[in-house]
Amino acid sequence: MKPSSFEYVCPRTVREVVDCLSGSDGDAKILAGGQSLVPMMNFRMAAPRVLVDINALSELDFIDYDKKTLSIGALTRHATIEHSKQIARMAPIMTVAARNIGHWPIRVRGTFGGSLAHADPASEWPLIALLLSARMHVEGPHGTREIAAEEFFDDIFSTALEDDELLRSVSLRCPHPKQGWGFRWFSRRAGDFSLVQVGVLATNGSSGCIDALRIVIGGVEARPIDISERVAHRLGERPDESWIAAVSEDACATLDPPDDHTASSVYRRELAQVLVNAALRDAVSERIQRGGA
Amino acid sequence: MPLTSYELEVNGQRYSVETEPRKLLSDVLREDCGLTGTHVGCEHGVCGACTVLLDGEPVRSCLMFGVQGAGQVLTTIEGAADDMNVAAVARAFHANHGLQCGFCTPGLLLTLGAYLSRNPSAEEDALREVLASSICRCTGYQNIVRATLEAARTLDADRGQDAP
Repeated sequence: MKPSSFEYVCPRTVREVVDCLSGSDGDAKILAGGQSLVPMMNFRMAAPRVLVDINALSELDFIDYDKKTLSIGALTRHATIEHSKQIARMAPIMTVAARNIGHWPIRVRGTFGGSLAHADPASEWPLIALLLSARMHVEGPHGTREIAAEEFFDDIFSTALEDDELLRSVSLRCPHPKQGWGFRWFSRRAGDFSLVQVGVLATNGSSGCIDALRIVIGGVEARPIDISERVAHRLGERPDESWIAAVSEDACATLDPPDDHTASSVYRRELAQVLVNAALRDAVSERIQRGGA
Repeated sequence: MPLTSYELEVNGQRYSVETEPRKLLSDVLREDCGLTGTHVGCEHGVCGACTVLLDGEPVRSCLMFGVQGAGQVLTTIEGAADDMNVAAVARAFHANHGLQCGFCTPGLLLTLGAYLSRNPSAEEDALREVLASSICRCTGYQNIVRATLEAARTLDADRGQDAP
């Protein structure tokens, strides 16, 4: 099907974007990469009266960093993140996540900010944002504000962004050298959205025990969930086989995913446990800790 | 709805078009530029039949509006015959029966050509992953894989010959 009519605007500055949004009575949508929005418009599941194309705002396409923090502009393409040497060095979990997004042509256009603002529970960046304690920098008619990832994702396709606000950039905390990481997912076909995804950060203590553990699961609820507290009682132990099995079980025991046409609740819960197990294994393995491939 | 005028640069040629903003790039290329080698399959980005090159990189033309093509360098299959990578892939497809109806073929040739130009020593696993971005309903993919590997080998060998 073809999309319904809209007024097309292509502003040159962030200010102009916000003015357009404010002046459209809640009936404007931002067009970034278009890889999620345009399919919805082609299906007529989305029919904004005004389409605000932000692709001319090249100042929102950037990757900046200091010792501990990555700052990524909302218009940064998935492919740029995938090939970024800085990100491969500072947060390789993002490199792996980026490679998993759809296919190459999707990654050429799709954007980091667009994916976060779209908030599809099966997508990679909301999970990564939660795992890396992201802060979203938002511009509105009354100025800028910062929203923590825990408060940003609300429901399926729904975030804390108001109708007249633009997500301009995101800051993320890089894993530190003592943190192993794992990112695992499963989809039935290459390039499909994952059924379930898991991100893990495990901090090694001096005695070879795991001092801190952060686990985020995507695809089992309307937004990614941080279930670290459910395994807090397993900290201070050595990460052997039985520990990995026990943590995976505790992490997923109380999950209650919905039944839908792609997978049953039981399947998703069991899949989550398998993926947590695999991601934990990655995170505690020495290879990953030394930064190996 | 009011029409908007803009210029597209496709395969090195300028096209002056006037369309509604909502007209998809895939439709503008086919109808307003008369370049029907770009095919329209799913119109939601998954099948790959509409793939064109934007500044040399593959994109889904069904997920862009024609107006967004203004000021960009666009390449469709009609303009890719001179590209040595696309030509090698096309010859291998011909030799290995890598197409039947040909509907998915332009998208595949452009994507594979672009990939091989950037990754000349690509291995089978990586090439299979690139192929996954196009849906072929006819062939079952075996001959497409065969053709792709042959093209990669040929290009690699040619490059070896050209090296001093």
